[in-house]
Amino acid sequence: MIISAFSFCSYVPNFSYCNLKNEAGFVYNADTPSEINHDILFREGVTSEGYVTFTPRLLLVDLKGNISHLRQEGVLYNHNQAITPSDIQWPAEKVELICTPKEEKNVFLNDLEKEENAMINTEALGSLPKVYNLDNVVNVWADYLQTRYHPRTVSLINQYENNSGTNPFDVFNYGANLWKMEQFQDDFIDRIRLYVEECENMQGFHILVDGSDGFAGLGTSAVEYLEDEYSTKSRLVFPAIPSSFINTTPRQDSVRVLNLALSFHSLADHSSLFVPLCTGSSGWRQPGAPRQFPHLLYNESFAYHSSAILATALDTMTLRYRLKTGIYSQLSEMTDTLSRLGRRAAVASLGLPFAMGYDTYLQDTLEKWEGPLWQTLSPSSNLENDRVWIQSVVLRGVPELRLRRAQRGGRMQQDTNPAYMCSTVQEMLSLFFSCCSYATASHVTSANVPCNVTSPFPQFFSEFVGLDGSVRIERRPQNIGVYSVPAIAGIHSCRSAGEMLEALHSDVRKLKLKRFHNFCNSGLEEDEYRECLDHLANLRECYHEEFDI
Amino acid sequence: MSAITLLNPKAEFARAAQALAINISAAKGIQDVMRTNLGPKGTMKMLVSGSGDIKITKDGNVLLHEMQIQHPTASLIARASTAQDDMTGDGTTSTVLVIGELLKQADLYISEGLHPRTITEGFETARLRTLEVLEQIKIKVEPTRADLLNVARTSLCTKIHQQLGDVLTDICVDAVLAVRQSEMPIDLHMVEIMEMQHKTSTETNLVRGLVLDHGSRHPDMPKRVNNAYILTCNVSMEYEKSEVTSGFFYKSAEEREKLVSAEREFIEKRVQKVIDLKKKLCDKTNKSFVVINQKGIDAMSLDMFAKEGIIALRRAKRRNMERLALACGGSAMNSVDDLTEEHLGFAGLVYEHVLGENKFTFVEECKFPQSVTILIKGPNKHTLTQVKDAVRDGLRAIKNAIDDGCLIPGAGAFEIAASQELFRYKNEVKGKTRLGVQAYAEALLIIPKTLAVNSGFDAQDTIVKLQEEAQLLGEPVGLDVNSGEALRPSDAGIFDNYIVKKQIINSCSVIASNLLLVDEIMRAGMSSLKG
Ligand SMILES: Nc1ncnc2c1ncn2[C@@H]1O[C@H](COP(=O)(O)OP(=O)(O)OP(=O)(O)O)[C@@H](O)[C@H]1O
Ligand SMILES: [Mg+2]
Repeated sequence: MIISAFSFCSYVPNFSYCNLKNEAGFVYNADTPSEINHDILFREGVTSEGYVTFTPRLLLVDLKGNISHLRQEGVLYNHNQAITPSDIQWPAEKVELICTPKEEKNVFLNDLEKEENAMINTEALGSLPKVYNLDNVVNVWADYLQTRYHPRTVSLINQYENNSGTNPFDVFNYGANLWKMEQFQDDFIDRIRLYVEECENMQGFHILVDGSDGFAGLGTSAVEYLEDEYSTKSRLVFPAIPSSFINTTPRQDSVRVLNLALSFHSLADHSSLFVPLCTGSSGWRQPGAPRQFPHLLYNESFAYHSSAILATALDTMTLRYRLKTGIYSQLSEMTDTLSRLGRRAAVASLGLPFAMGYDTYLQDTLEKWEGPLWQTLSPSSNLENDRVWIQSVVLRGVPELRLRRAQRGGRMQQDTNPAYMCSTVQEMLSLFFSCCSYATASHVTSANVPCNVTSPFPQFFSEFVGLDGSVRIERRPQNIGVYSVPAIAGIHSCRSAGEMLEALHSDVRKLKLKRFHNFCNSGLEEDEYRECLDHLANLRECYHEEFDI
Repeated sequence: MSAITLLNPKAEFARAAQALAINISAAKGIQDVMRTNLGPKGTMKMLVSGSGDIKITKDGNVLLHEMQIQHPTASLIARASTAQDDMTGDGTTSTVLVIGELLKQADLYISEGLHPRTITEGFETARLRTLEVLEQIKIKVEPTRADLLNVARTSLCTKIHQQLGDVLTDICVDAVLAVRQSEMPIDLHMVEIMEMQHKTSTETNLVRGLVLDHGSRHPDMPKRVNNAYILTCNVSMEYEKSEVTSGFFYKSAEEREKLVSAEREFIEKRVQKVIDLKKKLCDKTNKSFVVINQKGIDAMSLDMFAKEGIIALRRAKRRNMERLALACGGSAMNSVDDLTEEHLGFAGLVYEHVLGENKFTFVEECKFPQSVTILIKGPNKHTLTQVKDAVRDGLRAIKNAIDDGCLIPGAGAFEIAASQELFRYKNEVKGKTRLGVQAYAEALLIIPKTLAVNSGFDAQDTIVKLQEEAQLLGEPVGLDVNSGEALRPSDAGIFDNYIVKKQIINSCSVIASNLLLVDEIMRAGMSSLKG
């Protein structure tokens, strides 16, 4: 049976882990069949000239102006036919050409283009991939976009402007109202339908949405639609919060809290499971102190950095049902088990890199591990010393070869240490969890492929991370980058998900809706707002232990 | 975009007098951008974005959506005129021009010391009078095909070149007439618009039936069948996880397998029911069978259908369920139990057309199709979009004409007539208010003036000529954009929609007045738009 699925994340305002996500684990090479089933996220197509294309099943909505040099239609299917005013069927003297200045591309994109045009690699064979420092050239996500999109992928919103002073897209209901516009909705649901039609046995949808601005309203409306039209398919939703806001006023902070509360209110009803993502520790009014990763030196004020972290988490934790090998698993199994007892909200985690010494083995690494295996990636929650009921964990980049040191004698030890009974990475990690957590049902997946972190992935690893992602004592030479890293990521149904909801509830409860005209004027009723507050409180109740069976 | 950047000064706090000046200059700015669009001789705009995306349009509404306008006054005007389009489908350019002109005319008097409040009172008096003129001038019609062709052509030829306009005129009128059901409001949704990137735009055509944007997903299904029963349904024919199987966590692999196969069997039975009906109706006849399903159909079910020579399409548009029933009869089924022949539709021909990776399925030769498809063709995306926008406008204009039961003579005739009446009427108005009426009368002339300028004629000369001619004939007179002379719009077949003109008069008066009473500008302007 061919398992192909439809998975899409859209609404990638300012952020775009999407492309990173697709990139990070993705090398399309017919000669070396990969372990990951790319048919799940990618589709094969053919252009009118007969070229075969491989594009992500992705829908993406952004404000006009955020896509920079990117053409809405993409370049795969429509080559830039140079058209001039004289080609237009209208008297030539009556054609007015209005051009916006051409967007400059950065070094990375220029190299990429050259490479594509020449159809050969600009790098000499056998050399290491070139390392780019894009920290200062990335302004919008399109600046580091490597994947080529299908013409169906990008939808643009014209009504609002990026960084607009007078007309910002910052209110939940603006997005919800946009969805109600017939022209927008008809067009967008057609795009969804065309992807779904292509798929054999679609599993469900990944929906990535900025939870703190107008996209929240748009994204949650889309989720509601998906529930209605494709009721049997899972909807795994990741509401994301940017990692930093510069010069925001308390009022703007409140607006974001309102947007987040309204989106959670909707997602609790219409998603199969939702996992809030943020690299900041508190998330609501302000992102708060950035989560510290022992081997990363990232700058939380770059969306380019924080989105790369979220993208890695996303790409890794979804591997569970995207592998060709191993135990057959479905998205719905994960969302159903993790959302038991009405606990629709879960917490995400990531360990990047999964720190193993060069030449060491998983068993030793785990035995000597100190501190948490991962960092929490959901706001106002903390997995350290948390009560976790159910979790789904994926470890990637640790091949079976690295399971344990080849055994030389020492039978005695084998008998006493149950770790010696484990013959796979998955078994060993499961054992580890059962030893160090109490009554947690863990689903563990392991994949050989590490995360590919070559450009455009940011080079934010500490100098003690080697080019293969191992943690070393000696420094990595200056001119060499990190090319791949092992990583661990998980989704956890746990007590602190309740704390996360409580923190949001207590922030939003303090606000008087009447003071926020933009919400009232765009259709939010006092009653609905009350309902939203009650709903959050009720949802929070689901996370009290007494209700557990 | 120099003209457009003009509209984006930093919004600053402005005192009343300054604010008025700013409002007026913003209105002028947006008017300057839009004025060249007006009428069949207007300028076509080719917008090229920073990344090379192309948009070709001379539609005011499209242009306003493409522009990023930051000045609050300008964006207020822009929203008033896009609201105009939402309600009536036309008249965006005129709205921007008239608002701008009302403000300009008012400015002349205000700078001489007249209070804005007096002007707005005059505007209100003038608005009411203008509406009366509109009632007098309207031509009652029980729209014949010829009337509708005229109104459609007038609309279309302001958006695309005439050769294509002629082709689309017939298509649009025939489409609306096909979906029109006596005594029922016309539902334009029953005209499907489908794009095909292929050939040239003049090859756009009307399909008396439905075109679906997908095809069968099985290599052995027939690509073309005649005399086809059409089953339209919304029934899942795809094996999916269910409550039972998803609790797999605690079950053995065998147990799971069993559940899966039971589930699978359930779907097979459904498919078999459809096949049974097909066998009963089609076997040993020259008839064939097509299944169009809104839900999924998985590979195994497709296989079963293919073996029977049935074409099966999955994931059809929700709206196509209704369209299919109207196009070929039958009804959309939510279950395949107790399926009988009456539930089915019928089409003389069903075939698939492949274009690159896109497939289209044509359901044609329907008996009395009450849902039809306009199949737009064009060599590239921007042409398709441009034609589609024009077709939408054309369809709206035809629907408006039928709904209104009347037409308004175009080519500036109405505006000339209304302003003449206002110039006469102002003498009956007491006090300074009459100056507001006069300003209003002057402002309406912006339409014929702009039509003249865009056609290469002098604005003043033209107005004088038209006014004299109208006086002489005692009937509505408009501008012949080719010769610069006067013409009788009804002879030339140039008609506008009543509802569009009415809406322009109302919204322009309100918005202009709000902008003049600066103190109330933002709030008043905003809330009046919402209603
Ligand atoms: N053949 C014609 N000769 C003279 N005037 C015409 C002709 N066709 C249309 N007009 C006039 O052109 C005006 C409409 O122009 P146009 O459609 O460009 O602008 P609009 O309707 O105000 O805005 P929109 O861009 O929304 O359509 C009407 O006043 C109409 O009477
Ligand atoms: Mg028009």
